[in-house]
Amino acid sequence: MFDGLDEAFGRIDILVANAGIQKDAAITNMSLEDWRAVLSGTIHPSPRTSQAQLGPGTHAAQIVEQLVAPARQPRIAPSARACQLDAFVAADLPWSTEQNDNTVGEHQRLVDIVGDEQHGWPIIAPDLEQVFL
Amino acid sequence: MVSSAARPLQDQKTLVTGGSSGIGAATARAFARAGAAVGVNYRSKASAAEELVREIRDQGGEALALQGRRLARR
Repeated sequence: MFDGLDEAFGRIDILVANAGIQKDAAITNMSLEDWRAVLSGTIHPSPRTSQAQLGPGTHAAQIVEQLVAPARQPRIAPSARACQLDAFVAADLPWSTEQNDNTVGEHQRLVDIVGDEQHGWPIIAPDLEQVFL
Repeated sequence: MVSSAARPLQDQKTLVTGGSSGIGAATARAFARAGAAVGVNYRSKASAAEELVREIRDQGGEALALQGRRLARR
């Protein structure tokens, strides 16, 4: 995959490590094994990917969907600092892929953060620190 | 002409993993709107990724669909 990117783009400036897996919408219905699989698939690949596959100077950001439905379940997320990412944005979105497709607020927020040179890197949005740390 | 302020990520090369659907696809669209060239990584949804790439290109953006199941250590 990275060979294809190198060929087409020549470099990667920004990695948005969005890929993840989901076993169940509600944490209360998950087995411990499923929960660990979700966390290891969603959270851990990001720093590993950025460190192992990308060159120095590549910025990395991760969007983390709420793993449980808002209002019904507690918010679950790891420490942003532990992820060692440049940007870490929570997507507080309705619990539906179709609705996610139509919801641009959080995605735009990531673009704004990445595109705002005044922020520089690394960055963790202050309001997100309150959520995750 | 679109101003540079409206395209803050002009000339930035971006890879969005899991970019073929859901929040990843929306993120890829947002980065493309901001001027970035977007690599749309997917695991199995090739047609969705290709469709998104076409959509971005049709709107004047630069995009590429890339399959990658697992990123191994070097």
